[in-house]
Amino acid sequence: MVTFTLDGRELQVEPGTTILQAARSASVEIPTFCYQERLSISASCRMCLVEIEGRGKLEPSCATAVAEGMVVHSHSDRVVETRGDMLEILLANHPLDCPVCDKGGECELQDTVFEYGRGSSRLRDPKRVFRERDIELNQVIVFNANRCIQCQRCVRMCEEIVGDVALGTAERGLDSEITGTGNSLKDCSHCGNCIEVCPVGALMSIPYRYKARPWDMQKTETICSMCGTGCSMTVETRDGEFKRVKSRFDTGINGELLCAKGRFGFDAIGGGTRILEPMIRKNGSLASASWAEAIGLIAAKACEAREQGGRIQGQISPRQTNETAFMFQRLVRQVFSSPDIRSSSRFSGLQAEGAIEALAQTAGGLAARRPLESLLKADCIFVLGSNVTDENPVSGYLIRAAMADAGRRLLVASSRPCGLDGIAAAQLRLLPGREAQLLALLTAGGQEMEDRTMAGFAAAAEPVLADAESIALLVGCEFLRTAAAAETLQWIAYAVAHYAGQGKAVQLQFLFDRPNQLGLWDMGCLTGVLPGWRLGGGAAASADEAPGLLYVLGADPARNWPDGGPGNRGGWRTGCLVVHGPYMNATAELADVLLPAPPYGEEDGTFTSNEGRVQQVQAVKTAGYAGPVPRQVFSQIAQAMGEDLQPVAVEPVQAAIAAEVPGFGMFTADGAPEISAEAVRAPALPPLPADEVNLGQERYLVTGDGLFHSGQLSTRSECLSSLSGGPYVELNPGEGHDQAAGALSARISRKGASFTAPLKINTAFDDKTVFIPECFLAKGGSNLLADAGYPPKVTVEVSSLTD
Amino acid sequence: MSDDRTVAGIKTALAAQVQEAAARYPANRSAIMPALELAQTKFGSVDGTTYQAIAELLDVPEIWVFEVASFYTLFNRAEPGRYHLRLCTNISCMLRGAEEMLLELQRHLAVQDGGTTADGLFSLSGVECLGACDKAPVLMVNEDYIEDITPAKLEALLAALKREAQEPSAEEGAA
Amino acid sequence: MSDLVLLRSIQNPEAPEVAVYETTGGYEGLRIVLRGYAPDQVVEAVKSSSLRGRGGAGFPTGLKWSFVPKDSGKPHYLCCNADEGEPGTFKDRILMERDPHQLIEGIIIAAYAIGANTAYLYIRGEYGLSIRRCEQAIAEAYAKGYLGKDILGSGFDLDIHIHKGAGAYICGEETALLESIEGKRGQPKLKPPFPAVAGLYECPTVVNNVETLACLPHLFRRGVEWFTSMGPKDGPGPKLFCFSGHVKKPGVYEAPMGLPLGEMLEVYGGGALSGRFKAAIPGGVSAPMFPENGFDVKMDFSSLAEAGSMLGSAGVIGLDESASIPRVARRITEFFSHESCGKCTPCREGLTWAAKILRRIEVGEGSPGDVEQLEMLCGSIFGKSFCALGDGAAWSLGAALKHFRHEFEALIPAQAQPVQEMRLW
Repeated sequence: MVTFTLDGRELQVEPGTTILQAARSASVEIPTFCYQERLSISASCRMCLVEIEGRGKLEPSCATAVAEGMVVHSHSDRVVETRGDMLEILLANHPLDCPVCDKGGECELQDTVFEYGRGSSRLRDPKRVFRERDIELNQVIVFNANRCIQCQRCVRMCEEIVGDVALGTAERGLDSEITGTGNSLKDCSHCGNCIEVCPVGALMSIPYRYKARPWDMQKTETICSMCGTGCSMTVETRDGEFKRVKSRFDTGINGELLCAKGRFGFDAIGGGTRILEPMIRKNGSLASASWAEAIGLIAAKACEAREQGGRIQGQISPRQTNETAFMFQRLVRQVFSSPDIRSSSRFSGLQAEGAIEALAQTAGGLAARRPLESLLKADCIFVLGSNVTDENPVSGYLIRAAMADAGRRLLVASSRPCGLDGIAAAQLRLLPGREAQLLALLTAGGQEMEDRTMAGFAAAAEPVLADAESIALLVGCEFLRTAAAAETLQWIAYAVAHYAGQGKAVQLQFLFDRPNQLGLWDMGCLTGVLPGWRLGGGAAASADEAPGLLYVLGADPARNWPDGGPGNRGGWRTGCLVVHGPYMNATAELADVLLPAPPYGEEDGTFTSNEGRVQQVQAVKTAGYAGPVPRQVFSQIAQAMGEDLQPVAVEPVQAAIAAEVPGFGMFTADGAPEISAEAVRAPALPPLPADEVNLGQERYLVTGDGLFHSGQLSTRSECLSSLSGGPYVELNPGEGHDQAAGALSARISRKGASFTAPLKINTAFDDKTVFIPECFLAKGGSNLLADAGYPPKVTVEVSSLTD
Repeated sequence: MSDDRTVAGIKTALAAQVQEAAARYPANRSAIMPALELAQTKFGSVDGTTYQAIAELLDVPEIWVFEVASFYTLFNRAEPGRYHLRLCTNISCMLRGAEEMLLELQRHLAVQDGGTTADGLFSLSGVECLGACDKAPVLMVNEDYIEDITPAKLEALLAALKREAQEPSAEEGAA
Repeated sequence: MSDLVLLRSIQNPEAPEVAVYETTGGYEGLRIVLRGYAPDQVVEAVKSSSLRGRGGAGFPTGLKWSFVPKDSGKPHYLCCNADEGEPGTFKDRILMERDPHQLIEGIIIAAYAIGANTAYLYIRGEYGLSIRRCEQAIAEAYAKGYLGKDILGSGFDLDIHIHKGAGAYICGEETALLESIEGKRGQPKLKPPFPAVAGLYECPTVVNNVETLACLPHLFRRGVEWFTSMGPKDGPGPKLFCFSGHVKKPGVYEAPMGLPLGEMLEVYGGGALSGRFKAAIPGGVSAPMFPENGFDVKMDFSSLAEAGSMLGSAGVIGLDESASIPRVARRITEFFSHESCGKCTPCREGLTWAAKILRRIEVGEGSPGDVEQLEMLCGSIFGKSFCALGDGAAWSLGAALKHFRHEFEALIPAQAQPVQEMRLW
């Protein structure tokens, strides 16, 4: 510890602590503009200059480490005078247009001048004016150069954390101006974090522009529903109308960071076609019905199915809350007496033998969950099978931020190009389903395929893994769609044990693309897994058997039903399809009974993030329909079937969960140990796929979310839809296709199904893969995925759009 | 000489020299300045297309190239005249009449400081110290220093440059 | 002129050729070093020579080198600062144009001392002839085995690359120069860490001025004792002075340090261009000026520092009675404002504002209170800016205001209304 004196107080701090950090932790306020935790130190605004006895010059407290015996004055006359000077010369050129500035009321310059400014100035010459009109740098970011104070937080944020390097600085001296190339932000991922960290009204949000004043808005703290990262955010509304999403440095895993989906996608709550009243299919078409009628019908059909020994299946969306999910599995298990419950129809791989056990071994174990922050301190971070920068962008930012301080310790193996490739010690394009292959190669001398790329990765990765005393394994969920899910999970478990056995501290976390995937499984929304990851509860019926009753909560499984599969119309028309959810969708179109439910944003509850943290989700507006919420509906169905299903309200449900799920909501920053070495036998080596050096015109089709997508949810956001543009196909066409050569289009086909869209060339893809965002495939392309293993082999034809 | 100022054209024209420049440094970013200079030597000025071409050649973000191009004053972001007159007006030259001479040049050429004459013949810039204070005032005409400028010397110089511009050059004569 | 050291070949048009350089003892210093000195011993010798940097700050060269860690496990770099841009300074250009091998030899010795196998010679882009001469000299040095692999059979390898500047005074600041070589905007970086520990590409780096490095061949050829016998004990050795402005004989001269400013202006500068001297700037425009009654100050590092100015780049600018100090101050302030990189608030905002006020005063639009405003701005910048550019600007403007306040006040019309303090709220 280092002892020093700050404003007459003796303080003890860790060596290396800066004066500013020490002051803030002692509640001594020192004003700053350019300083931003997480970003590199700039020390350029000169607001935090302090006096150190024995040094002639004032020193920037943000950049000066405390030394033993140092005597620091942060409020001496000289220091106070200097702050006044800095503010006076900053304001001399500032337009002082606060009445028409969106930042008014939450402006750091305004607040700092109020606190430390002199209130007067003799600098009366004409101000510097860059231009009269603001520049729209892109669809969401607008820039007013006159207000900018050159703190460079935005530029550092964009480069150091987001990794876009879209923003930069043009000119020099007083003409210095934040900009992109040609006044537009090429390579910008539209996260808006530059807006968030701008201390003044220089960078502003276009969707929020002139919409409200900060003090007029109601603020609701909630959790983002776009992916599993579980970012905290503040939703601001005025008179019940959504205005904007903000993030705060001191809140949540993400602090001030959000991605484009989180920051600009919340308008999705006003999009889509809502289901507003119960409906029942009569004579082939859906007609309005009373709640009693609809609930009665469901109860009758369920009794019928139960009595006839028919199958009842529950399917729940991973965007449902823990509370609703817990009661849903009770409805299915206890009332419908069915073991058959699913929570992501995409993860067909989980139906393979041994998959559930391996999943419980790797994703279960609530006690072993640790904060991402703790994982990111590991000597080696291995991102496996996850397109993290597209599907969990903020997790990607946090990984990049963690990499800033230490050399190359990141390994990335993903099906699509990853925004972290450039800072990785080794990177690999890996087809989903081949993760086990890679792990076997790294841990058990597995065999290598002919194209040798895996061996190249392994050669670069092995020394990093060998040198690491701690390893964090961040695993995506794409492999769960493949036939190799079970063996992949087994190899993950083996790899963890293998490295732990070498004395390394190993931590594992899955990166799910949906906000409550982990929570749903914790709640037991998975066949064979009871709440709290107790295995049991019976097996699902054969996949070929059509369910007598299918109860779909919030989900849209019809998109993933291959034609002629178990979900085909003939299969369940004989029974009953209940669709209970907020929005019309493909499944709802086919429903026999349709029930409204509140969407995200209209109900309270909790989500469990990828970290395992149980976080509050709050309603930001009143319910959009009249009637019971899902847990009340479940209770009423039970009642109609002569059963009692309680509780309903959030708190008692949480108490019930806690009783069955040990550790629920108990997640703490340092509560759990790293995974210890258990004797796990190496699974059988995965079979080698066939030689694929020359695929010709064929490629593997991978899908999922892009930067502006979160399944169907993002399609309801006007803002994200416009950022995303229309459908596209992304691949690396190899030599001979220069992007500059003109617009190209790609036709993707398989077994009579086809999808044609403009081609995006991305040379960071390998030559085996083609990517189409899932939300676009849903319209017209889903047949490409039907009735095939994932990823399916498709035929690609590239042609000029002008042909 | 080809003057294909498309991204592809610039890349083709500069690729070899830019790679050679990049080889002098452990990081490609260092070659941005040399690459801009090569582009300017070849094409007379640099612009958005140049930044993109250099960014692609060096595999660096395009904004980095633009940042550098706009920070350093020797990069011409507008097409300069055939003769770029850079008159030092810093103190040692100022003390020997450079500021008056700059005004005289502005009048004579009918351009503002930083401007280019309508016929594209002259660009005029008052610049900071050129490091030839012992020969003040000093003027750069393109790459060359003209020292100990006097009003008479200046007049003769401009006349000579105008004459030179009217004579068909060897290349043009051949064409 | 036989006692000239750095400028001994200035009159010989063939001096830039390696063969000619060799006939005047060229590359002997290097041979002596490579034959008889371990790198540490080179550092020690330079330390004991008390050689101080000739770029402006006057930091002891050997001490700077000694901060380079021995076993960093990273490559080391030597950078030569030839981004001469301080108004009134042109000595480095003369050295590069007239005797480039002297510099190249110095670079090789310095690189050997600090264990650098790569050196970058950062020459400002305007210095076309210097660049060509150095390119030629480097090519000759490779051909002669003074550069490249296994120099003179010593096992020491060195490559020198020229990095051309492109018009930015701030790149003369050593960390900005490193940023510029890295391909960035030339903005100064935070110190610590100092370049000796984490400089170019985060590797140990030494940045030395042209004249500093040009001293090295002589230091090793003729010995430390010879070197310390010249000039003041705390900063000896040959020194170049540039004379410009209102002097009869502008030019670069080699002279012992420690002569009075007034005497040097007469002896080397040839006296005032017209009438008497009113003032003089001793070391480039960052150095505060002396009025005529301060001309007895001695021209060496410590005497000038004690007198509230600095030797800086030793660019002496004479100002005779015809000079308007407000105009001189305006032009100097405009220069600094134009060259401010824009990083820190006081320099970026304050200098531009000072220039605005000075322009107004000069054209007769000043108001009572403007001079105080300028003083306030100097106070806001001096000691508070990120690097020495802002400090120098405020320091030199402050001296002009201090010594010649009456000239500023005389330009403010008698009937002008005083500046009103404007309430912001």
